[in-house]
This record gives sequence, structure tokens and C-alpha cells, in this order.
Amino acid sequence: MWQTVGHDWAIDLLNHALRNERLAHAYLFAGLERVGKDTLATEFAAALNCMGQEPPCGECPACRKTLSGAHPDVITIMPQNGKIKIEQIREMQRQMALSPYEGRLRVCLISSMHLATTEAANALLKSLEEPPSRVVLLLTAISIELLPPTLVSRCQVLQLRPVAGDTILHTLRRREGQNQQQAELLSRLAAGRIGWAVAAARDAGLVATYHKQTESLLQLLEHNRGERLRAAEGLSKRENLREILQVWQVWWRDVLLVALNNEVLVTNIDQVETLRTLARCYGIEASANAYKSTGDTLMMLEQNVNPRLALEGLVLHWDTPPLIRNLN
Amino acid sequence: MTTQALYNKWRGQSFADILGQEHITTTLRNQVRMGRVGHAYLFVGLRGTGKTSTARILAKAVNCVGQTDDPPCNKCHICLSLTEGRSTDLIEIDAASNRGIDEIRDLREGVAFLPSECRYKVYVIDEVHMLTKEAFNALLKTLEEPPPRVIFILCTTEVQSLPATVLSRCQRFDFRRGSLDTITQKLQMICDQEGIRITPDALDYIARRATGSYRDAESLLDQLAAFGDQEITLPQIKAMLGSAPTQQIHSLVGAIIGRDLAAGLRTINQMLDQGADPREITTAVIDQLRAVAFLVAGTEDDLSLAQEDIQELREIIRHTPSALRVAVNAIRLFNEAAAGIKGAARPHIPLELAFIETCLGESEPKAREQPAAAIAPAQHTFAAPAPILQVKEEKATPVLETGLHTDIVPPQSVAVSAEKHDTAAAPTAKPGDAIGTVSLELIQQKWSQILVRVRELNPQVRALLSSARPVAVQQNTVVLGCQAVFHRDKLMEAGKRDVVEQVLCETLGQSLTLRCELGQAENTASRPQTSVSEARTPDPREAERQRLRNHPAVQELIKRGGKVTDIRLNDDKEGKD
Repeated sequence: MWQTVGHDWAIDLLNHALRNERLAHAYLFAGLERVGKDTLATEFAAALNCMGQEPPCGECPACRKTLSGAHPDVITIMPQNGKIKIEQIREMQRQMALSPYEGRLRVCLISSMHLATTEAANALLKSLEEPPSRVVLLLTAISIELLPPTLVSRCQVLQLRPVAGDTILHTLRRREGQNQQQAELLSRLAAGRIGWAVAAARDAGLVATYHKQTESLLQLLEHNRGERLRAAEGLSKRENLREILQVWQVWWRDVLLVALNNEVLVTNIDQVETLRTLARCYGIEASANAYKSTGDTLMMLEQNVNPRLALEGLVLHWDTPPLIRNLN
Repeated sequence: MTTQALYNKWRGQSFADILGQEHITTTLRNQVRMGRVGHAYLFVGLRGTGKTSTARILAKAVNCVGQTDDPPCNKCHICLSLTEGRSTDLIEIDAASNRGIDEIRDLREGVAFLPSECRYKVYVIDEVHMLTKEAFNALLKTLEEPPPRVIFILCTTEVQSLPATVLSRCQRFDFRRGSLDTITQKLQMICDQEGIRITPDALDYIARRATGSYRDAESLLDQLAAFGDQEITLPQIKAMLGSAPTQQIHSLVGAIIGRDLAAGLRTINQMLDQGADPREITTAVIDQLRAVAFLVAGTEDDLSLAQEDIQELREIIRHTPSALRVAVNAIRLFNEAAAGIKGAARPHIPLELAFIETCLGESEPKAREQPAAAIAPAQHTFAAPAPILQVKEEKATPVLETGLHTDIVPPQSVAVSAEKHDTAAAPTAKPGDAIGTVSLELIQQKWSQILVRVRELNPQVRALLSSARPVAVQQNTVVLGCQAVFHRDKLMEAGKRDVVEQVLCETLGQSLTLRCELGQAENTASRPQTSVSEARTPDPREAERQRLRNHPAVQELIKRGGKVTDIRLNDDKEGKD
């Protein structure tokens, strides 16, 4: 039984490939962070050597070994210090050439291929094109655009999409025993990243951090320019600046959605009242602009601009709606 | 247990199998037949266009011993051993993993030995662009004058990273992108041979998605072939790839053309909830908008779209005369979004933003019929952010009348409005100011020309001018509105001012003097008032009210017969007349 949640079409495809013995020699699982691609890839690795009736059975020794990371025929490559290096790929290629010890196939699982150096990615090309027999390569990456096209075109690509909100909700209710309200909130905050939702259900700290980040935006709006500049300077030194901006972006999106009378789509459902107030203050256009400028700032950060300047430019653009003060 | 990938299994084995590259295969065939084979080839082209396959075929062709006019025969022992990869005389090197100078030195040592069984020893160096600089240099001499009976074939997707010294030593062949027809042909052939059943529209869809790469098409087919003996259908492919149903894409296109923010956002989120991939939606929308542009132009026959799709799009654009402009703008924005989606943590956000921006960005043509529209085209280059403002001006009216929060216009829009104000005010100043042949309008018309000329003379002055524009002509004086004191003062410095005056004289045939003022300077009524009230009341709220009163949008409304009845800051209740 597959334990991966969502991605039914991908599981269906892999099942068919297993049953019809039409396995490719390289698969690429692409998808958002924590959307479940590594889970799916590991399960597929187990299925490839599974001895049970319905692979992956999760119970046979091969499955158990693979899932716990102890199977001798499953070679796993993880980024070291945020990079996959050419030495790791070369070492993997050496091991790949040996025939399987106990399983039917040797499986090479490379996690976060997008972190591979150019040299490492290129070194993998030939193995991907014509790997030794009885070897299956499984790659995961957050986006195929971050990989060289020559590499992508040598793999079967399974583009995993955000998991539907209802599926996450259901999983949280059933597997994690969350109450409806909490499950609803988490499923929305997760934005399709089932892994995040499950982690947040087990660790209340994640949601608390999230709330702290929206809180910081509301505080910022109350500040005058001088205070905002000071706050921006502080924020720009934070490691998780990008994450904060993403949270802000979702917040402005919600304000816009409420202004457009589209409350059904709102993410921060626990804050609808505040959102309504802000939507009244800002109106459609200003909230749309704020939504957009936050996105632009995120894009600028990708391009290595000075974070402090980018952030200052962003926060100075927002007006203070005095109603917030009355609200708190 | 793993099956060979289709693209490996159906790799071309003779020149005739290489589809769509006749310009290359014909030349190579002739070379082989006439015994005029070169010693170094460079194959360049997009991934999956047949470079490696052609290299292998060429290796066979030059060595084939079969009785045939068109080698390779694929029957003789040489051909067979090369096909099976047994021969020691075909050496394939993956330059990406053997990229250093040491590997190239090994290669050079090997080159000296004669081929063991074949006529020629063939070195195929794949991904050759990955060699290091030293490795390239070490290769140069061998590449220029290899021993007899050695042929080098270099393959690469990135020819721009090869040194010119390598390029000039090789016969270069550029592989074309596969056309829709040839890709379909190849896929059909594979399906027939493999016994894969597939509907024609599904086959066509795969070929289209491959965008010219045979291997991409074959990989996708391979993936679908996993479904075994079922017939492959279009909906199945779409579910796998996360393409949205055409119907929903059409309703999104409808929302774009009709500028319906709420409906569009709802549609986008519906599609996402049903498991559509944001990037698939984005490309589909771009395709449909492109179709809209073709429809407006009346060339929809070039699109090879289904009749019902065309009908649907016709319906969408029927009541919107500005459909083309909206569509073109939207294509641009969605294209940017497609780039933004790459690696985004929430990939639906760039998509939504592109949509929102399309809706807010430009307004209907009627909104453009404001005084500003009468200004010469050159003027529009200044008013680049103007469209946003026009929406704002429309909205400003109800806001004022109902006495609501006038200060919700974000600060950046004030700057935009100020700029706009100047241009809007300009035509009203026109009639009385025309002296001789030089009118303000004329200067504005020639302004871009003037700027070009100024740049030739003095780029620094040109830079200063970019924040200035002509606002009035008084007798022989041209008045420029500047945005900042700095620009005004700098422009008035002798050396810089002379440049502008000289160019004005050249362009307009009349000697004119230059005067620079601050942007809102010609608004004489508001100036003293501002300074007085600022001096008297340091109260920031009072200043804020004053700022609002002098806000160009407000001034513009007053000019058109509006009246300020009440300015209420959001946090004070008493209001003020």
C-alpha cells in the first residue's frame, strides 16, 4: 500500500509501470518543497525490490530496509552543505556499476538534484542516458527549470503538483486526529505542501511562527516611516527573510480576495475579521499593489539585491490605515 | 527488468532514420560515398535532435564493409559490432565527466594507435562544451592534424561555450528543431512497432509539447506506454501533465478580456484545486491569448485550432473592441509569470499576480480620451506609469464625493499623479503660449528627438532631462518642469543649460532660452498657501490635509468643477471644510 498522500495519477502511473514491467531507467520527481516527492521516491524505491504481492507492501524485509534507509542496493545521495558535488556522483557511479547484492535492482536515489553543481549534473548525464542494466535512478528536485534541460529530457518526469486542500484536510482529520477547524486552517496555510501540513499538525511551533510573521506585518503598518525603516533593517538581517515575505504576500493576497468579495479562497481563515478591516481601508487597488510589490521584492531578493534596501522600498510604500489602531 | 527507453530502442541506425535533418544527412552521405570524409566534425543542436545518433551512424558509414551504395548496411560484422557497442574503434567520451586535461592527454596517447579492425578510429566527444579551457587547448593540435584514420566528432548543445580555435578546426553541422510533422511521424512509427495504441489527438498533443525535441516526445510516450495495453487518450495525458480543461482556460481568458478580477481568481483557484499545474495553466492561457490576437488579425487559419475553440474565442472578444491590446499586454505579463513560476515556493502566486496586473494595468480606451491623450506620442514615454493612474482618477471621484478616506492612495501613486498632472495641464496652457512657429506642442512632439541629440552631446545632461519635461513656452523661454530641486539646479548650471539651448535651437530653428522649475511650480495658486500653512501649523495632520488638497488628482477634479467639501483623515472624526 502506498502511504504517499495525493499524487494519485503518479502512483497510478508507477503501479502500471511495475505491473507491466515497463520501468524506465530514470525518474525525476519534481515538485514544491515538502509536497511529498521524497516520500514518493523512497516508496517507489521500496516497490522496485518489494517481495510482497502489492508493492510496496511496506512489510517484507526489502520494503522495511528501504524505508529505514538500510537496503544495501539503495544508494541515497543527499546534498552535503547545501550542494551535491561531483565526487558524490562519481562515487555513486562506481557503486552503480556493481550488480545488486540481494534485490532485483540497484536503485540510486538522488535527493534535491537542483542543488547539484553544474559539474555534478553534467557528470550524471551519461549515466542517465545509458545506465548499466539493473539500475534505476530516482531523482527529486523542486523544479525542472532549475535543472539542465539535457538532464530532464533523459528522465521520465513526474511533475508533482500541490496536493488539493480537501485531500490535506482529510488526511489531517484521519491520520493526525486534528479537529475540523484546525485541520481547515492548516490545509490552507500549507498551500498544497502536505509535508508541511503534517509537520505543523505535530509541531504547534510552526503555526505559531507563521502567526508571528503575519503579526510583524500588522505591527509594521502601524509604524511611521522612521520606525518602519528601523524595523526593515532588523528584518533584513533575518535568515528567514524570504519566508517572512512569502507569508506577507499570502496576507496581502487575502486582503485583496476579501476586497473582491472572494472570502472562500482566503488562506488565513482564522483572521477574517482583521482582513475585512484592512480590505475596507485599502480597497482593491491598493491591496493588489501591495500583493504585487511584495512579490516583486521577493523576486529582487532572488537576484541578489541588497535585502535592506529592497525591504525598505517595500515597507515605505504601504500606508498606515489608522483603523488598525482602533482594532488592536 | 527495466525496459530500454524508447529513445534508445528506436535510435536511428541509418541516415534515412534521422528525420528532418536532410541538409546534414545528404552532405554526410555524399562525403562517405565520395571518400571525402573530414577529420573533425562538430554537431550542434537542441537536445534530442539526433546529434549522438548521427555521430554513431557516421562512424558506421565510414567503416561499413557491406555491399551497399548507401552505407551503413547495418548487416556486416563491422556495422553490427559498432551498433552493439563492442568495437574498440568507436570511442565515445562523455566530456562532462571526463573534462580535465588529464583525460584529454590519455585520449591523445590513444589516438596514435591504428584502428584494430575498422578503417577509421572514431572518437565521439559528447557534451564537448563541458571540457575545461586547458583540455580544449590540449586537444587543439590533435584536432587540427590528427593521425590518418582518425575522425573526431564533437557534439554539443551549447556551441557558444566552445573556443573559436576549436570551431575553426571542425566541419560544423547545425541540427534543426524537429517539426511537428516529423515528430508525429516518428512517434507514429514507434507506436506501430511497439503496439502502443493512441488516439490521433493525443499523439498530436505529445508532438506539440515536445517543442522540437524528439527525445522529449519519445520520453513522454514512454511514460504513457507504462499504462500497457490501454489506449492512450488525450484526457489521460492531460491528467498526467496537469493541463487544465480547455473550457476553464477559456473562462479565464474571458475574465482577462472582460477584466473580471473576481471571476478570474475563482477560475484559477478552481483549476488548481482540481490538480492543474500552474505552469500548464500559464502556457495554455498564453496560447489562447495568442489565438485571440490571431483572431483579431483575421489569420486564425494559421493556428490549426479546433473549430469550436475558435467559435468560443470569437464569442469572448465580440463585445470588447480593445481585445487585442488587452491580449497583447496579458501575453507579456503571463510570459513574465511563466519565468517567475520557476522554483517559486507558491507557484500559483505569479500566475494570480499576472492576472491581477492585467486587470488593473491598462484601462479601456475611453479612459484614455482624457486631455493627456491629445499629447504627442513622445510625451507618452514620460507617462509610462500613467495607465495605473487613470484607474485611480476614475476612482477618485466617488471617493471625494462620499467624503471617504482620501488618503488611502499609496504614496508612490502621488509621485505618478504629479507627473501626470503636468502632462494633463500642458494642453490647456497651449493656445496663448505659441510664439512664432514654436508652440509647446511642437516641442513636445520633438522632445524625444531633442533628447537623442542631447545625449550625443552630453549624456549627463540627458540623464538630468529624463526627469524633466517641457511644460510651457513663454515668449522665447521654454519652461521645463523638473521633479527635484537637484535636477533643476543642475540643469540651470551654465555648461548644461547651454547644451539644451543649443539643441533646442538646432531642432526648432529658433533661439530659445531655458528655464527650469519644480514639477508643480506652475500651479501658482497652491504654492504660497502650502508654505504659509506649513509655517503656521506644524501639526502633521493639518499638513497631511493640505497635502491632500494639493494632491494633483484633487486639483484636477477641482478644475473640472469638483469641490472639496470635507477632508477627513481616517483617525479624526471632526472633519474640516
